[in-house]
Amino acid sequence: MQGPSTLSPLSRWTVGIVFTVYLTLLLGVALFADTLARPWLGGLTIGQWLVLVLHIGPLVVAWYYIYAGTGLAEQSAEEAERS
Amino acid sequence: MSWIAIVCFLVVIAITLGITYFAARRTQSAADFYVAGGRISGTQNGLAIAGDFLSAATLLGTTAMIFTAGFDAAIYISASMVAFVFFLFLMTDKLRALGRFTFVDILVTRLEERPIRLLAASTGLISALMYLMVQVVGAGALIQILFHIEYKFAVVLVSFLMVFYGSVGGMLATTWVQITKAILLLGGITMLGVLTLAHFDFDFAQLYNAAAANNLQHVPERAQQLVLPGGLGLDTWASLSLGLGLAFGLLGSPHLLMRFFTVPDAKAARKSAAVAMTAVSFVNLIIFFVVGIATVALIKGNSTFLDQQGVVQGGANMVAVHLARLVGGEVFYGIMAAVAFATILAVVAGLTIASVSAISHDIFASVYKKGDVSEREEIRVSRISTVVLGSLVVLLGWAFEGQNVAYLVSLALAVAASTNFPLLILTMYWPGLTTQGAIAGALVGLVVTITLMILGPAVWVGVLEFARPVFPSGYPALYAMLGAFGVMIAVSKITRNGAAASGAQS
Repeated sequence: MQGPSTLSPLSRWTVGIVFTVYLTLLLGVALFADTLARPWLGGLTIGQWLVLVLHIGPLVVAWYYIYAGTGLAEQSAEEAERS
Repeated sequence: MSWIAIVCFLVVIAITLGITYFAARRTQSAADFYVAGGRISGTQNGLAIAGDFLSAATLLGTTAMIFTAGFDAAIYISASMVAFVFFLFLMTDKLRALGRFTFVDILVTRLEERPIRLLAASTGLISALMYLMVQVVGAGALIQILFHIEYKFAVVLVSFLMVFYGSVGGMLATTWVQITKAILLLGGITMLGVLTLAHFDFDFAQLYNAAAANNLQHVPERAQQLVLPGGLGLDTWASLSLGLGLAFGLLGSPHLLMRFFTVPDAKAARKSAAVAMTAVSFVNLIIFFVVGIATVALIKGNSTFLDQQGVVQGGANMVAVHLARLVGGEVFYGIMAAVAFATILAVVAGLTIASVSAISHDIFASVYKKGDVSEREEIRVSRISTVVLGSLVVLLGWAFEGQNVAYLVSLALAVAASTNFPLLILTMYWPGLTTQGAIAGALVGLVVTITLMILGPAVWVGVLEFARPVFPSGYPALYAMLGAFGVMIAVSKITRNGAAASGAQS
């Protein structure tokens, strides 16, 4: 079975960015709550924006991965089959 | 007792029972029973996965979490999106390439079959059993307030239905119940969001100001908690442990992993993940930004919904249902109660199939009978197992009465995060994993989670009624996960080196 090298760059970046944003939220709740509660764009706080980013960003990438980036998804599936 | 609500409730139950009956007539082989014969389309399966994700914990528990703890509920809802990203980009293709019925099939492509099947089926069974208990706690409270019957009797009733759905219909019925429920839930939650916003003239500022003012009046010490984190009182380790336990626990949940085998190919599996992600994101955002905030504005301190002790009727888990009554009247209250109950029943049915498949397919057929078993016999064992599971769930449901279901889910997922998830991800991505390492690590993860859970506040104080917990944190997942990964890697390296050294000597 192959190692993580079978992942496409898009997969790696998406997983990395989403996980980083989530870690920021987790650490923020405990360590910098005041910063998360600070109002930012559109009347929402930074914490609320993090929640929005975590709920909308992955959707955009996921549908791109499946349709616009069909080649990437198929390549990933073939590599998984081979491994 | 509201007759309109009860009629709506019974109609939904009748629909799901009808689906189960018709699906049961089409279930003929083991593949039909476990994975619906692989005939479900990507979109249908996506809705079914969304249905599994949107359990009692989301609709009832997360709303209750916002009601009591404010912004910190963001950890609970965001975990599901992180889990979906991992599913889609790291796991779906590998699951499809290597698995057949259960996630254990994937582990045995690399590791020794019998011990691994026994181990993973046992850990999967424990986590699914705990998750089942959570759903039953939510359903018991719901039936209690709707029919005004004893909680203990309500738990027995729900468990009876669970046995029926699980033992009669199999995966095909479960999937269709899940799809129906996901559509009902999406419609219901959209309606609840719209009616709630209409109550505030579609003005978010008015909604948030009303919630802040009501919070200030009833809990002045936590007046800012709608936007200021800290409502759960988490320190750094507890926050990380809760968040990572939820996200990785979902990735190790047998009932979710099984769904990726019900579609014909990898392309449909990927589409399933994306459809499910879209539905879950939509529901999460409505609950977090509208419904949860509205419960603080309209239910907190409202004497209509308080019992004689000044506590919300049915406990905080019921605030979403009370909100439906307030903004939508008796009919909508009945519909939302029915949707919540259908949500629970559908998740329970999926969990039952996953638990039962662990017993009948992994332990009975593969380990005990070594594959020499007829499909008929395997299905018979699975149906007997369902009855035994139902009885266990009744006892657990009684023991954990009144605890927040979202919190209880975090405990159930902690088991999956510290056993199934490390096993699965290392099998997929680390060639160095050995059978001995996998067994040692998973056992450490399981023992640490269960021990810390028993010594923690939920069981030591909540069930055993001691004054204070031995282990102060209510979130054991991080410690158990680190232990499981560490032991899996260390023992694998030692046993691999040992095998290499003895190979070189000979």
